[in-house]
Amino acid sequence: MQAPNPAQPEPRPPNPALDAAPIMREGGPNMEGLLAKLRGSYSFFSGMSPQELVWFLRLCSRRSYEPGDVIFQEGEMGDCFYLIIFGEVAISRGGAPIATLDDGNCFGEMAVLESTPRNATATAAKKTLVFCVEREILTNVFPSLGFKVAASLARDLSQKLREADDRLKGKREG
Amino acid sequence: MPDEPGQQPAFQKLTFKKEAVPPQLQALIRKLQKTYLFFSDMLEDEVGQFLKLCKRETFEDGKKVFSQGELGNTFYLVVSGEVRIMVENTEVARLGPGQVFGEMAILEEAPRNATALALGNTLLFSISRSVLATRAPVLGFKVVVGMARQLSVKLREANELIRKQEK
Repeated sequence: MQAPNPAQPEPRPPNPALDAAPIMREGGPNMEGLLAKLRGSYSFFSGMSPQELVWFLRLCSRRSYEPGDVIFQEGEMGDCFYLIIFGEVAISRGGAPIATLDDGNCFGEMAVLESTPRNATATAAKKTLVFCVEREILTNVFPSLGFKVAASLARDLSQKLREADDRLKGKREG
Repeated sequence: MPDEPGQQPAFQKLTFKKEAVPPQLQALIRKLQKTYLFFSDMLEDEVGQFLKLCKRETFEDGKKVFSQGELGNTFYLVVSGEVRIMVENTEVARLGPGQVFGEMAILEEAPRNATALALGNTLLFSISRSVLATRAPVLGFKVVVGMARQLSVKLREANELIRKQEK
């Protein structure tokens, strides 16, 4: 007979007092500075409260890449999307470049939203640091955070679509 | 057999405590959930809440929903009929039931970058920006995820077109 395991801590309801503590230990007194910097520098975070940002950071991992490193390949399945903290990422399909992204841009979100394989390859073009964000953030664990993440993703997608439309318009006229 | 057949999860007992949705509305909600991907993640009472925040608008064939360059506070869901999306008199897309449009101006707080025209008699739900600031965060969340998913599809299609043209 298996009882539900009460010791399983994640996901759990937010508890501001508990949640703040380990981050402070990890990050030391600079944590507040980091949170302020993220919110000030990246529009992705502008709507989030410091507490939501702390939850966000817990659902992502930091990864760094050297120029030429492949982040993911076209056709792979993927469970996370990426936010570029600094550096440059080249997006290509079948070897042909599609886009170049840099600080504050997201990529890999289409496969996460549509649950489809990656439809392009992402390669670091410079020394790059990204946050890799788990799909879990878009489930209902923290609805108010999920909402803000989804709104940021949607805004980012809307900009990309606008750029793609402009490119198509240019082609038609040219 | 490790399962005890007599035991029911607690949530099953709770489902009937909710405020009853009128049967007529219930049928509509079921139909929306079944027919439109946009609603598939929402629970019955979330669809009900959503409907309270929408306005039904009908447009006759050829009527303008909005014009390129205008500012707008609403986005639209096509319920029946079709909508043509025009950029400077060229049709760039045609949308049918279940698809949303006008969401880019809301998300980016920018002017409409295309004109939308009804094709045939068309029924739309118009949804104001306020639905995204609703006090029901779970509903707002699901609406935004629905929007993002459709944007992702549109971007994929645009990229596909660009690739064909550049070959």
